Amino acid sequence: MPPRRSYPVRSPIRSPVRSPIRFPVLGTVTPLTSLLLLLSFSIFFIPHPYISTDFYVHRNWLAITHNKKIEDWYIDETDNVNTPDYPPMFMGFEWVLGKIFDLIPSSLVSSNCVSVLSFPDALDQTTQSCITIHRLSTLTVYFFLYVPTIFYISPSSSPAPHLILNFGLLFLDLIHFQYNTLIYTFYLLSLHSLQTKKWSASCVAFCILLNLKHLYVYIAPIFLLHILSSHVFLPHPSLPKFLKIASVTLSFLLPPWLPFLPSLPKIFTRLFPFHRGLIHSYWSPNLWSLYIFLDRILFHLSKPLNLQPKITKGGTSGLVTSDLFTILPPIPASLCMLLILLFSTPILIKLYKRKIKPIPCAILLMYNVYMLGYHIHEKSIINVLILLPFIDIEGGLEKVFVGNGWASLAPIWGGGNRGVKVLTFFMGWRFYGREGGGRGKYYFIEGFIVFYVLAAEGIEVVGWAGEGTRLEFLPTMIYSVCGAVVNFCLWGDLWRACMKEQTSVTIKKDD
Amino acid sequence: MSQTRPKRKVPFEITPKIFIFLAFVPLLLLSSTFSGHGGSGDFHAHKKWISLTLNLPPTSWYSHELEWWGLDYPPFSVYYHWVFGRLVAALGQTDSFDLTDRTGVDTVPLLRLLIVAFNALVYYLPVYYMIRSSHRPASRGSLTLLMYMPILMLVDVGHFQISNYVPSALTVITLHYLNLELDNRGGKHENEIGVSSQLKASSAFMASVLFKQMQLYLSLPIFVHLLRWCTVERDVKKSSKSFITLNFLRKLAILGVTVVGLTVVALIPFRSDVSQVVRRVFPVGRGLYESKVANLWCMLDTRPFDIQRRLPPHIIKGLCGITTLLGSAPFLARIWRNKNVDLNANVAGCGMAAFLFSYHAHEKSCLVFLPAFVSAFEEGMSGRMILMCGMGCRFLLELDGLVYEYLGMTVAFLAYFNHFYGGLGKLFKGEKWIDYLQTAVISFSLLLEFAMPIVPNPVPQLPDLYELAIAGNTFLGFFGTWAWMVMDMPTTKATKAMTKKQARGIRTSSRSRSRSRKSKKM
Repeated sequence: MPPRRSYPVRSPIRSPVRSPIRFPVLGTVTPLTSLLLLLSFSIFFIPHPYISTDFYVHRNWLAITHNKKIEDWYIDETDNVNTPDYPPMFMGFEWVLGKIFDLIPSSLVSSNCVSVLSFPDALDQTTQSCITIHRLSTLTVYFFLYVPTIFYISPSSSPAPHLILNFGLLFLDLIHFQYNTLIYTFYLLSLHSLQTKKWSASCVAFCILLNLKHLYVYIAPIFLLHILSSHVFLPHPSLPKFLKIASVTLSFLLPPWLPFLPSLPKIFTRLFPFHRGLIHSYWSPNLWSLYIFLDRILFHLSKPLNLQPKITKGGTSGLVTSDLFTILPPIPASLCMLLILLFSTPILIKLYKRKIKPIPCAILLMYNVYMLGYHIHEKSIINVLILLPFIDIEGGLEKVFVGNGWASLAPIWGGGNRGVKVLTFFMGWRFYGREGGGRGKYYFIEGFIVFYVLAAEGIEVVGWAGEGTRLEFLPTMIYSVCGAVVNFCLWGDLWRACMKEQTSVTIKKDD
Repeated sequence: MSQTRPKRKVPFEITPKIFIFLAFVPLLLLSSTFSGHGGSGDFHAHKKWISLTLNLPPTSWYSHELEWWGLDYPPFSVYYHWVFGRLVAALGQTDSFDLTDRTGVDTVPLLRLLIVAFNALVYYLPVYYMIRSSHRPASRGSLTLLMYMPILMLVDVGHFQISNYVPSALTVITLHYLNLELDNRGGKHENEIGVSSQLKASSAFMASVLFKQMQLYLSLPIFVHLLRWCTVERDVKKSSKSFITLNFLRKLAILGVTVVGLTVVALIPFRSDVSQVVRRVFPVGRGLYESKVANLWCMLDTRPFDIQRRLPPHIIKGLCGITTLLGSAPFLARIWRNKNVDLNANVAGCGMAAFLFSYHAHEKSCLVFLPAFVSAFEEGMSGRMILMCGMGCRFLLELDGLVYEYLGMTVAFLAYFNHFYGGLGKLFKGEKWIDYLQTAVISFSLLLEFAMPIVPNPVPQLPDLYELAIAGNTFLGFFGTWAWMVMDMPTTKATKAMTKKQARGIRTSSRSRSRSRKSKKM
């Protein structure tokens, strides 16, 4: 046997083409790649059996619009749990969806998929084929409304892959089940047209957005102030300009409400459910989750501190409750509104003085709402995240932002295939990375996010947090409290960046 | 902060980071269903074999309870299961691996985790480092695709036939060493490299055969190649007219000792009853083909031909042998005649011929020639072949409830191709007739993919219409590829890249580059 050593080979071709291909991060992939990846991930989750209660909500709305007369849409209470609480245009969308469902051959869908059922019946009678068809409808919105809009907004620039392959949105729409892409389509369209000075178009898009989901009334001041300061008052106040904008706005804002005039009071109690409590059942990671965390700690220290707690239902029991606090005083909705107003005024003034662009302003405003708002759902963080690709902020900040935001959605990923979901989360986060991230303070925070996600998931895997055990709440609490701490750091950084005299947050230039 | 986008080039280099990432992509299949999720299937077979190695002495492995997934894999595969058994025991999970327990479905995620970790070690790691250090640009070009073959993951981790990654890795290693010798023939270090690399190649290939008998599909070309090598004289002047020379006998003896030695070593634990092992490993009489496989005999067994009704079985068996030999003959002749032949392509051709014409082919058998094929051809052809192999196994995966995973993985493959080769254009670019044929076949399967859910059962009298349509479509693609390889020797990237002119050009450019680097350092 010949001696062992490495021989020089005859053709010394060492490196014909050496182009170091970096890890595929979204900044370096083409929109087509991101689109294919999105398609691939969504196909993976189509047969997924888990759905949240939001599925029954949307199924019921579709059934109501499909079977009832238009006057009864907000009155019908066959299913008294999942009643409509979105503005009329969204119900119109459900009506259109019902018409499309009619085209599907009846052999593919179970017969009562689109019939009005009372609540417990709906739970029992939902079949996998019904879920699949609904999932396909969210995917249809994603691919045939949202994605074309993205290509319209950024035909060649870098935001496109980041907006298309948004894992938070994908999980929310496919697994948790909602039609958020429909709403975000108009959210992005309205802000983008405002940015590019298409005033009437932005007003139309914003009115549609508002009629799809009224939560966006929070960013109405941006439209008002920016259009006034940059269009109507420039170069000098002009009445025709104002009248044009006002008439366009009103003609798109009001008509959808006309068929519902008789049931208007009822609609308003549905749209603004202040009885639902300060925090959402899973404690979205904001100020109030820290507040309630403090309350729980005080509860456990009540004996040594000699306090007298009230007895309440559990805060993480998954039920929407209004009496949560044992020791600390309850927070009224008006206080939340006041705080939001207080924190939003400086940035709105800055917008009016035209020292900041509308998109950074909207980011900060939505973040204020998320941190301080009343009964805020975890998914509201996407309002902030989805605008980040449009602006130039430090790469590390954006990456931490996205990681923390997606992690805060973890409680609504649902059961089953948990490992795959965590894997997808980490993969998606790694994909998202932008160059320049991962140094200094943000490097530490990134590590902290990885740590708390793994800790929370680990506790579930080990089985300390099984159903009915004493520590059942622990993973959710880890997600919301740790997430809230990170959110406060990021909130401060974003404030500092936006409020500087020469703001460092600017709109990204097109390639 | 502005963002700079790197210019996209054709990548021949995957960085270690990407490779580690790719090795763990199959984890996405962690909680999917598997073969036999409703009754019994490959999962139960492999689980039973792990239990066998845990609970029984080797002498009774090949004879225990043959009616319930009796062991029918060669010895090395059994040792692989034994390693899994040890690991399971180390993790304290032996309870689920009782021989009487015929379900044990809850062990699937654990086993899948172990499989993925193992595949990273036995496939991704060796293939990555071996091919990356290869002197052949062509081999390095194929690395990108070898690292992500959706069908390999789906069959191995999803379908749960855990014996595909190791033979694939061994095939790649075999071809690597055979090419190493081939490229250095007549060079300075010919003799040293020659014997050692042929030894490595033959032992790697023998190990793969002893791991999975299906690897015999590739045995003919490799045997012919090695036999030819035995006749090569180092000194041209010395070459005599006589076929059998001292040199020939010496080389043949070296190879023979390797092959026989390895076999003997593998069979030592079963020495008391070797005939039982042989009977289990080569079961004749299992049928002409299995389910709807895209090969000639399945096609000839449909309505207008009905070959199994018209001809007696022994004649069909004879026909199988003859057609397989005839189908491989052109490639074997090329290997025998040409000195500087593109070995990979010919080995892949023989593998394809065996798949198309041999007795008792299985859908999964396309995985035998796939690594060789991907090593041989440029990215477009290889990519299309990977897609077609997926189509061939589609109904197998549908039975396992893996059809969404199949579609998802395939779309992810397109994304992967699009990213690393700078667009899907290369996948569907047409120059030769075969490119058009393969593209048509793939497009038709896409059409069927849409038709299946929309029109579930178009002709009630023909319940297997879609299965047959996809099998026939895939057969068309495979047969066309084989015919093209027979008719005009493909101008592969290997032969192209190795032309002297290009080699010289690249050499000078790389030298000048390294020089410039040095000067920068100074």
